[in-house]
Amino acid sequence: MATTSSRAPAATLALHVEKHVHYITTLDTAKDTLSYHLSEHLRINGVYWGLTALHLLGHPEALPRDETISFVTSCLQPCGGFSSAPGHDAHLLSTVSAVQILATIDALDTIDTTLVAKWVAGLQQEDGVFAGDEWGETDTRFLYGALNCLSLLGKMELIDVEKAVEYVLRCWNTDGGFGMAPGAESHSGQIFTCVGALTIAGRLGEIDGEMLGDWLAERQLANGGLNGRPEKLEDVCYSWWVLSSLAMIGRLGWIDKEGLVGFILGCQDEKKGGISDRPNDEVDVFHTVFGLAGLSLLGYEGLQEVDPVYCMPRSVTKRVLGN
Amino acid sequence: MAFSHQNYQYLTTLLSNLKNPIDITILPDDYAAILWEPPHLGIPKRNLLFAFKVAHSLFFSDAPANVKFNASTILILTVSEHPTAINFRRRYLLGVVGSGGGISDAVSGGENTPSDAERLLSEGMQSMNLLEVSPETELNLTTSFLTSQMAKHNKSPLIWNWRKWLLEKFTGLKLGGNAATTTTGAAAVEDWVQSRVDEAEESEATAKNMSRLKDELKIVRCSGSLHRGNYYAWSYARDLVRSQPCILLSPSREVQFDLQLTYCRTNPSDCGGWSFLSFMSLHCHDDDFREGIITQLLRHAEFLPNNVSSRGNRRERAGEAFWLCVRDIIVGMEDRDKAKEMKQRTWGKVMDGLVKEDQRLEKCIWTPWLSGRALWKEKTMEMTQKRIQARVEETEGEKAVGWLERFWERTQRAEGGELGGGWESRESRESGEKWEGGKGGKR
Repeated sequence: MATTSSRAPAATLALHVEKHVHYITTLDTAKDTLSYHLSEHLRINGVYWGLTALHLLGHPEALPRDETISFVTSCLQPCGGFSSAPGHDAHLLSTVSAVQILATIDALDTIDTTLVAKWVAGLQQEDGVFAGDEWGETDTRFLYGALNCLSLLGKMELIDVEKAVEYVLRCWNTDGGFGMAPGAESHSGQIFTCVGALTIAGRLGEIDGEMLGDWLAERQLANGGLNGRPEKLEDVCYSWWVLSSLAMIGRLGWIDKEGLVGFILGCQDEKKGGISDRPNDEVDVFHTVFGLAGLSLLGYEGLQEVDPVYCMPRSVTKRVLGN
Repeated sequence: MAFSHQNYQYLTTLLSNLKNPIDITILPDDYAAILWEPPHLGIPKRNLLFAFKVAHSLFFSDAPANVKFNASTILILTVSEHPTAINFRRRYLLGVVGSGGGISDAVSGGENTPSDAERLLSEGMQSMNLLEVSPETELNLTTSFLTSQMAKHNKSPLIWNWRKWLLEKFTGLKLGGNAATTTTGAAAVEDWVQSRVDEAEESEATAKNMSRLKDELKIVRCSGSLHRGNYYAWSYARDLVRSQPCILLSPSREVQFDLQLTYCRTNPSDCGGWSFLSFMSLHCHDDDFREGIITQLLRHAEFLPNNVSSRGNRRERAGEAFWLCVRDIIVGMEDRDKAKEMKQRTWGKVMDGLVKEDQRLEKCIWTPWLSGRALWKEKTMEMTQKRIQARVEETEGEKAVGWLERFWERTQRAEGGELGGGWESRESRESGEKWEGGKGGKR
């Protein structure tokens, strides 16, 4: 779908806030078009990404609250899970996004949180991991997702947290990283989910922060960008997965912050707004939110503080979690 | 509209009832029409999108189940991560095969109960155009997606999991992955011995499963070669090995290691391939064999600095995945004296081949000296030095603990491990308080 970008290169290292706000708020206007249908399978995730980005940019009111609530509640299925869009099947990833959206706009009271929490809790498997839906795919992404949304709903008592923690610890590899399952290859995204899950469960002390910090710090390349695994290309979304993991284990200083800021800013589209995976590629809302979240973690001036565990505004998680 | 329907009909005809996998490529719009030279299918992007429009409107309508089934093919072909379309096909197949029931009725709310399956079957039978849907045709379709050049399909977690579901449901292979299995030590050896006992009791089923397993590994390697760092392909490969651990016993072990070494040498910057090689080594429970693998690898190391990845711009990290694999194989050795000896040999090889650097690297706890650091640019070295400095300052003088010893320490699960430091919100930084991590919701 992406064609060669003909936009101007980033002339200055500045964050083009208004352009990004415009890019995000005009994303949803073309309903019932081909591009709308093509992204239906992750529509609700897209709303979470866009909403979070707007909050970090300091424009929390830019998406109409009532319409957002209306869309999210239209995705609630009778079983208690949310789908990515009306007419699609329920899935844990959509449910997490739904709960995060409603928490952000302070509208969790518009849904039956017990029903939703019970559906999520029902996805926990015997060994502690979670499935994404009734069809049984398991992954530490889903384990993290379940802990994320159940903690926001205040319903952690519905699951076996101990078993979930044990499962995560079994995913710890000899190189210091974590994978999607015990024995799986270490991967920055999976590390984020495992470290995030342990943080939510209050069990971060069980892992070796130095070895993990080494593995994560090795993700930075000479151009300042971060990759996800050895010999992979740099990608803005890893500014989030890697950086938030380093933040959670208290080792944010182990990467070259200036280099990373420069890399992320170089991935902006100055004309259109939005951020891409690497310079001169096509932008999308996924990379936009993670680029902004990375900048926020790095203390970039003018951005709202982000919570590294939830990838939500810190003000929101403080309000919802009470700490 | 007629053009859209023509494309839709043509594609659904070609992709239905696959007796064998086909090779699917998405072509640029310079191509005027869909090209079909069995088994090669080339689809211009524009034609695919026209077909998608029709498929979308049919799938989300009240059309009969067999029509929706065809529509789901085009949805998945266009958008690889489409759980709703894949789930529909699972329900349809269960209805046709008649095995009824899903994995977790308690969660599904009865969406895949036998009565639903019967309804789907009867709706399907109503059409004149009976689909010959079977587990085999579905496997052929997933093979086609997973071994295509379509970058999102060949690495799709949903499609790999769909394939795993098909195998588990219809071929008797159990790929669930034993989450309780430890990867090293006495417990792992016990598992291996038990698996030999189990295998002896079911030798006929084993032979069939082994043959299937080898075919599946071929698919993984094919998919891996088309998509560097194909995470879900190599995760699937781990599930395969765990389902039949005797594949890592002689004589199949030698064959599989040869195949994997060849794969890795052909795709030298593929971290997924190297990581799977170290996984196989971990599960073969034979230190002499592991030593043989390392010896082969160290011979190969001489060619590494000249390797340029397929992207052409990774010289700065050439060999990183290779060296991490060597390290992980050594770390996984059960005989600690042998492991120390292998570490010395490896370090010697590294120092032979590379420019001498700051000797403090030898004394550091962390391991990246194995990653060909001398090839990196200065900026990276600067960052590395900063980090070494931070580490040294943090740990009250240099700890002369090597990475092998550190790993062993960790596997003994020393109690009361202190992490030291956590994320601080701006507020708590200002107030001097430390945030200890989330404790769950308070609602």
